[in-house]
Amino acid sequence: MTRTPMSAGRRSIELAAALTIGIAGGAAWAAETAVTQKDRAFSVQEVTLRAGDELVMHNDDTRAHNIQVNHPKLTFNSGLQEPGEDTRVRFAEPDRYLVFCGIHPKMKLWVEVR
Amino acid sequence: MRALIALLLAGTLTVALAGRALAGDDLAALKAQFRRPAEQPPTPPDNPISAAKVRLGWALFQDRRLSGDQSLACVDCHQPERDWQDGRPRAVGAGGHALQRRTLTLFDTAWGETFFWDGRAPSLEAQSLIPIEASDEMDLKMVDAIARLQRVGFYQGMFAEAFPEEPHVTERNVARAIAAFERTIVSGTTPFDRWVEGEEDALAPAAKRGFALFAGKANCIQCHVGWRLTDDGFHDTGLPNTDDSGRGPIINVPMLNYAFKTPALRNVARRPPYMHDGSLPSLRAVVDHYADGIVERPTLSDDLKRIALTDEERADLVAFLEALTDDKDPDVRWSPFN
Repeated sequence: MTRTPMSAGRRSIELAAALTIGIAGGAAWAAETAVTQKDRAFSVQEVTLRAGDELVMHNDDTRAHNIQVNHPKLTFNSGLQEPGEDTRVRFAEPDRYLVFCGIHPKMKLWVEVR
Repeated sequence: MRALIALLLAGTLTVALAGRALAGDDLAALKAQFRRPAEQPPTPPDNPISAAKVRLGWALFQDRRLSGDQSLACVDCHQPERDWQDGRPRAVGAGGHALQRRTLTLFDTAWGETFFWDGRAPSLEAQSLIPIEASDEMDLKMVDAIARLQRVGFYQGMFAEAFPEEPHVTERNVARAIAAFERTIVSGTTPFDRWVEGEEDALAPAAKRGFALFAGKANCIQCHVGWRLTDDGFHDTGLPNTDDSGRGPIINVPMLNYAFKTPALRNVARRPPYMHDGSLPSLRAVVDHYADGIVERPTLSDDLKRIALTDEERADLVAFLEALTDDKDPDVRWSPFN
């Protein structure tokens, strides 16, 4: 759960929408799903992940955001997420999670973890 | 008027935004952002509305037994005859104690995303109990509140009717009943609504020019958007008062210090004074603040543009804000008493 600057190459891929990039993680597969934040909205309203997958949220907006998850199985607060920054959250357990912005609470993303 | 002009052409308002004329489809799209909802308000699955529940919620809302010294009820600050506020710059709690913030109106609160000026409650159900327990507000522990209510004969039947699946005086049911009642408080139709729906003469020319400024050069629409004229977000708008940290400590983000929830604007002209701290006495003073009064600091909202406005433009903006006033005939389309 770290925030990292994003490369130009990755950004162009992620602008399309949410997509899943498989990365080899030893014997098991871990995957990451990327979404963007722009104009005070997530690029999608819902994503489905597998347990252990990572969600990458790229702030492509002109304003700062604050990514939060408030769930019995997962509490997360990104702090201030400046424009251009990535926020990564790993979802370890299956359930349905609400990801929202603490500055703009209308920004919501439902994450279904299977 | 270099960047923005408003013209009346052939009976149709043409709005110029950033030098680009906005009419026809563009104006229709802009108006659509402010259209009153056609759907009933969002309601949690575990608290559907019913007449019995709303009746109970209204009784609890007016019941001074819900304050420690039995001197205050919810309705003492959220007064229906004062547009669900109290007319004071800042609220007054238990023992006449002055609070830091102005009472928020309950108009259209069913559509809110978070509650309180700092958004610390995620639902109306969660919100409703907090002022009861707050030592500087109503100052009554919920365990004592429930014991008191259980001794009131008529509540037994009212709770049973409102919650047939759980017919008891409980904390959860108190919260659900008050929240259900509050969801029925819906502001009425305004001249602005009639204009949005196509009644061209519903707005005076000054109010139309004011809307063009609101949506254009003055940039109010950046945060005051949607039919309630709020983004439900949190912004530091550069008021001089820094005694109250607002949203920052709630989400543990210091850059959100001095940020408060964007207030909804329906019936705003009837609800002075303004801002979270009640520091501005009139709508003109609010407009003047955004033009001349912003205190520069690192926490200012990314959405706060610095604007210059002439005297006439300021008057036009106020004329628009006054057109958001209903005729005190609330919207009862979704009332359980229909």
